[in-house]
Amino acid sequence: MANQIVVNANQTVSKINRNIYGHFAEHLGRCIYNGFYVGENSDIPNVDGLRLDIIEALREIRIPVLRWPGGCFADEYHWMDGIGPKELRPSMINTHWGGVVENNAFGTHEFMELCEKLGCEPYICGNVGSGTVREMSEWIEYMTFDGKSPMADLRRKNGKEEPWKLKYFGIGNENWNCGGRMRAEFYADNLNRYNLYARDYGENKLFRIAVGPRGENYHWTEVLMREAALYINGLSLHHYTRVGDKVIIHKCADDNEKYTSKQGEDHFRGSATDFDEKDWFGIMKAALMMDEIITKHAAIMDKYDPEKKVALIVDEWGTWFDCEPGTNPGFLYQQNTLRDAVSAAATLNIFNNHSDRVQMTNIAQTINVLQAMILTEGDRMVLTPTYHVYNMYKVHQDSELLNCGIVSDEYKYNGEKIQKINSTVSLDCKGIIHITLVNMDPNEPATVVCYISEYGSFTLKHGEILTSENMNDMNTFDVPDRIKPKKFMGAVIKGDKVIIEMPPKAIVMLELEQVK
Amino acid sequence: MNDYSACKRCTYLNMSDEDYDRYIRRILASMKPQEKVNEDVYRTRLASCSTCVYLQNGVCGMCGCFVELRAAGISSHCPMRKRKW
Repeated sequence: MANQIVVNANQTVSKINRNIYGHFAEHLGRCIYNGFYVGENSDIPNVDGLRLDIIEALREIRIPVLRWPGGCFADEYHWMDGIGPKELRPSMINTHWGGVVENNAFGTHEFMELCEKLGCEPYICGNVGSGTVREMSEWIEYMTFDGKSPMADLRRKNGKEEPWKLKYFGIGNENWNCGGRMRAEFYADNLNRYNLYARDYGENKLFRIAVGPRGENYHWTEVLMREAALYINGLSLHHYTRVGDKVIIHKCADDNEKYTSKQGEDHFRGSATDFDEKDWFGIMKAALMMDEIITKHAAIMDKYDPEKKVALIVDEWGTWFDCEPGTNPGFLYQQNTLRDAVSAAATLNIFNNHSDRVQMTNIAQTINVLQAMILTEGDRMVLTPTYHVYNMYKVHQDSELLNCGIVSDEYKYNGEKIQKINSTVSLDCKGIIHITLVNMDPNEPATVVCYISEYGSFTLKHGEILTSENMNDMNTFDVPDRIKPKKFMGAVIKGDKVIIEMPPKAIVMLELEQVK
Repeated sequence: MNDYSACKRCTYLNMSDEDYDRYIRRILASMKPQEKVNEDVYRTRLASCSTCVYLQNGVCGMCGCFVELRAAGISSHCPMRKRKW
């Protein structure tokens, strides 16, 4: 059977919000400290302690939004610890993870400066789990109030005269577990209370994001949409791409879920780099699961919000493997191979194709943690294969998703099968069509015929491919450019067709331009 | 991020000091003799690490490694720009 894509260039479905290509930075391991932030006195080139090579690399992929400070850290973070003169900020020994010192050198002002340097929107996550309504309310006031008030005056005293513009604000994080082990009903009531006092000041209008479900917890979505849809702009979803899960899910009689975890050493998820085809297939299948999960949550949201006013915000996702041998397991540092790139590309295609409801996603996490864009070691930096996917896919940011149908061969392994090919087709504001395609099969190439109607004559303006010889190839500090995009020569145009010869385990981006 | 499903803190909570000790010893024991530096070099490296500002609770802030493991590798080096070893 042939792989076919049928596109109508006149039928746009929804805008692909640029924030689908968003990122996440938590105070975890070496994401913030010794990642983004090396301190003013570091001999690593920096501006105000922010690492310059990282800023440049993330500007290149047009990072649209950055979520901070967590994650679970958000529900233990007390923002007042992170403002004022650094020498006066309290240092805390974190007994939970090996006594690592959090000296609060990176706080609200530093994060806002980072976002300015990156040219991205800040997305701040407030503390519901261990913070008060007043604490959250005052943080908003501190950041966004332009008049005279105790918090606005405190901000001015700390050197920031004008308020910041802050749009995206999360009311808690994972309150079903690390954010307070709440039932959906209890969180919904708390959400409405915290949210009420998170005021809009002046022209600053918050986009309010409620904590959504873990993975397949559909009860949570049902309750949150029923109880809070009128008051929120977004509902988050956390779902990681993994084959072995440390979590044990306990289903309760009232349809809620409780979570515990398996004990002992942390070897449940497999190696990020040492794997075979069984593990490759498992991750590809897990990546495609995102489609089913979004479809089911979106169906519940449609019931309460048919006009799609409430966005689905997938603000934690990505691959999760065992940490690199020899590194601190609490730092969640993992390498990144072609497998990560292919699974990310497929997942981004899923998000694009759900862009009527999915308005933002934040892959975890930008630097040195889980499925990172960038790995650092001392002053050295490596751009991961996943980084290159984001660079190839940035063409979809704020483009219009085009209506298309896809017929795909199957990739079969050990009696199981998944769809071999997935794609996104979008039209940008200049009338250029971008196609991103993934061949998930690590063994067999695929011929894909793409029919494009209502677009007249067109030419192939540009093509890129990301692939490598072996499925576990990666970029290392000694060989940093083993995997990077190359010019793609495998596409030809015949009339209204593009015929694409996809190698195995590959990601392709094509740019088509109308002949005028 | 929660590692009940995902919290790094919970991960730590779930691993005792003994678990960590075992973790480090197991990896050291699994290294082949030809992959390891000799005892003198090992001790010199660790002595250097012990004076470094980036060392916290046995972990190097520049690479995230347990220094007792990183220092053992014959092909390893200090991750600092100006290498200490």
